[in-house]
Amino acid sequence: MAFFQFNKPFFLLIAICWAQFAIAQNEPTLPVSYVELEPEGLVYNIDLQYKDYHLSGLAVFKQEEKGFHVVIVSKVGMSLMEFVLGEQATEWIKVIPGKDSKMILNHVEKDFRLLLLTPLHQPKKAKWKNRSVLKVKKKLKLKLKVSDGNVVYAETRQWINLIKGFAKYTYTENQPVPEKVFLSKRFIDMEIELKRMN
Amino acid sequence: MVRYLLGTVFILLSYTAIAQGDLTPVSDPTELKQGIEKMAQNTSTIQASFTQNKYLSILSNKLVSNGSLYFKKPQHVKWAYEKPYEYVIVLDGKQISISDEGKVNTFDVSSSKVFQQVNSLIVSSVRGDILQEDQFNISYFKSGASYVAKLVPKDANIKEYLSEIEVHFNKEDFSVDQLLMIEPSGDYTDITFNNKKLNQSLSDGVFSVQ
Repeated sequence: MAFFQFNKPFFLLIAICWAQFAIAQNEPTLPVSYVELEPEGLVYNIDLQYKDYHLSGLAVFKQEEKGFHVVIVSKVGMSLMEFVLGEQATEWIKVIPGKDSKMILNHVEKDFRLLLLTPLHQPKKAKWKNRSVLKVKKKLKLKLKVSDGNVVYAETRQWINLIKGFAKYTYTENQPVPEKVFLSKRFIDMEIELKRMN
Repeated sequence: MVRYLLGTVFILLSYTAIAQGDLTPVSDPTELKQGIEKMAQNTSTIQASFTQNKYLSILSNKLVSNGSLYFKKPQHVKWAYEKPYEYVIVLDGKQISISDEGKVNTFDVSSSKVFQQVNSLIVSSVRGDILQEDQFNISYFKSGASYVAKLVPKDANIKEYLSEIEVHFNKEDFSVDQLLMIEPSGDYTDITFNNKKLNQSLSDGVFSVQ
């Protein structure tokens, strides 16, 4: 008994470590960005509505060594936007003339990091709140809801988070790549809808 | 990175193969110009189906879409994508109407320089009288079945989107068989016209966006 009393902090530490280990063993597998699951690239129909401004076309996503490559092509074939969401920065290859202010590009970057779930690629931090809610951080902080290993909902988390982004992911027949993704924002009349083409 | 490079090389090679083929330069394009002028004068309507292939360096597969094209003199054009999406552009010289999966938007051509350029580019591409030397630096070629005009835009706005347009004219009737629109990045769009019907009756109702 005296031995136990003397070593109480040690046993407590062991118990905590064991509990942490048990929780870690029990944690669900970290989901990945669905773009990583299709090495040949993904094609979605994209519809963007911002107030009276409407843009539709095809969005092509592909994960490459330097980041997540995005090309938005008009339906008549012309490329409208092209950029690479890198680990730390975004490389802007082509932007829509007149829609290339720093503020607009900042929104585009955040929206596409949310749509493509890029923080799930080798996240800086990842913490399960429970078995279906996950917080990840990498360039952007996201709170995710996960069901059957697929992300079904994501929202941005920031220190000052007035213009919060929300994204819903819809899957068919337990496929790991969403058929539809729908993004909306708090306080901004803006929506982006993706519908899978390939 | 290697894949990206390979993809780029593949696209460049395939583009070069398409673009060069067995093309020989035409030093005197008078016959071609006269043929096109005659064709434009004698053609009151055009009806055709088309296949559009979009080649992107990041994708190994091309993006394919199909649809129908209608033209009626003087400036009525309907460009209707049917598969895999429904997207219709109707031009009448004054307005551009776009129906995107049933949602219709109409713009005055005069409201924007870009719309004017797009309108002019589409109408002249369809009509065949795109060989406007005030707007493009043009070089002429011929191959087995067609004459080819390579157009390099002079306008800075168009240059941002297109580095070159390649128009393939049918040697027999001088109608447009194929359009290649090459972007500064090397990505390009290849539109091939099939089942062409010239001078058949087309009602004005065809040129509605619905």
